[in-house]
Amino acid sequence: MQELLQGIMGMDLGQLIMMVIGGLLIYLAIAKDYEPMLLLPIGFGAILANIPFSSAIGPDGFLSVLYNAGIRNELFPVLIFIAVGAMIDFGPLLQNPFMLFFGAAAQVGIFATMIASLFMGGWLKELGLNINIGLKEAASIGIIGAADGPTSIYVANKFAKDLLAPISVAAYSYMSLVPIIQPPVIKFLTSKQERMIRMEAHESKIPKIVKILFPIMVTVVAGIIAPISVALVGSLMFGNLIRECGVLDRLSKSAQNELANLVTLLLGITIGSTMVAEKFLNPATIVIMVLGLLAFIFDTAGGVLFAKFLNLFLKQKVNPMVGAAGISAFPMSARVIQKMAQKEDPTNFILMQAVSANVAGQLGSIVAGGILLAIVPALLK
Amino acid sequence: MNETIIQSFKATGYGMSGVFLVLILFYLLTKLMLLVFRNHSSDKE
Repeated sequence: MQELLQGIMGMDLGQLIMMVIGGLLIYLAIAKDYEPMLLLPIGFGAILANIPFSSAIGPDGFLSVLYNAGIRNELFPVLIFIAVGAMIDFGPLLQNPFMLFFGAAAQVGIFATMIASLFMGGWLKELGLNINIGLKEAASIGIIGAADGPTSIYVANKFAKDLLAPISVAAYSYMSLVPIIQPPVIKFLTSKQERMIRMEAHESKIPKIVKILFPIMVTVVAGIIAPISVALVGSLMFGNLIRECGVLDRLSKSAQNELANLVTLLLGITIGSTMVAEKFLNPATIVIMVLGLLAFIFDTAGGVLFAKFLNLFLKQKVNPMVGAAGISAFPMSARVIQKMAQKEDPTNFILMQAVSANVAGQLGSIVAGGILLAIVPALLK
Repeated sequence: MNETIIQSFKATGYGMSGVFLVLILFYLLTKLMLLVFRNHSSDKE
């Protein structure tokens, strides 16, 4: 009888809270449609991991086996990148290569948040809270601003394994909240006139050879500058090469569908399994959630302000809202920008430019992640 | 100022410069490819 009741007897408040959090993530995924492909498996993984004496975790638990096989060695994020690469059409960016600069500017949130994390860590320590945020932890928190789940997981796993769960949850939650986070920041930083700026679309056919050479060029350039980024950039671009080469349609479709679905499923539930009460329910998680939100705000502001800065010199002005689409949350951010532009002027179409900036953001975030992986250990030597 | 904070400012300086440098290279090489292959057929697309 006692053995039948061991689950109830072994339950503590922390586990109960984590199960409620898991339930909340499942609710957000189903009822609010917030990144359901990730939040639902993460939420269920959290429930599985917090049931007392759960056989899903522990040395032989299937979630621990998955963690060791796919997260600890960064295999899942890399596989996700192959799938994402196969899904990305760089066509709009190749038609407007200038938009690449917005993909760089919007990464400022990563670095600004890294600095903010260290300041906040220092203040909280003075207040007597036991939170240790060093440069590696700060970089891992900052990378939430990449607005790119796999990059966040990859960097956090290298620098701050203990913070992996809250960082992943923050990254995916805020990605799903882009339509809520970005508009107020953009409105605050732009005037109505600026939001109504029209932009000419450059529609031209991109030669197939350029589409094929682009992923190879990106891999070689990024790899030479930051060799540690090769796994990230290389897998994304490998997926894209499969898509663009024109002779591997079956593989391209498999990467876009079967691979993407399977790895997303396993990644989500495995990340969820790291949300065990003793690791997750601490002040650091709240700090990470606050800083993650700041990262998205800084990213958006960085992109908008960069566009406004360029407008000081450009003859043909850029709609500054397009700068905000330089984050990696694709295609959500581009859609938000187009919606905002049409709210100001129903005949204004800047979706093409916003998509270009958004695709550039995907490149920018992955490059920023790679550079961070190279710089931080070098500075700590 | 705390040594770690100084390191974070350095990381930001190097990091943002690095991101811009890499994306400027992407931009230049993309422009170059588009220029070199501007007459290349895209019929097979």
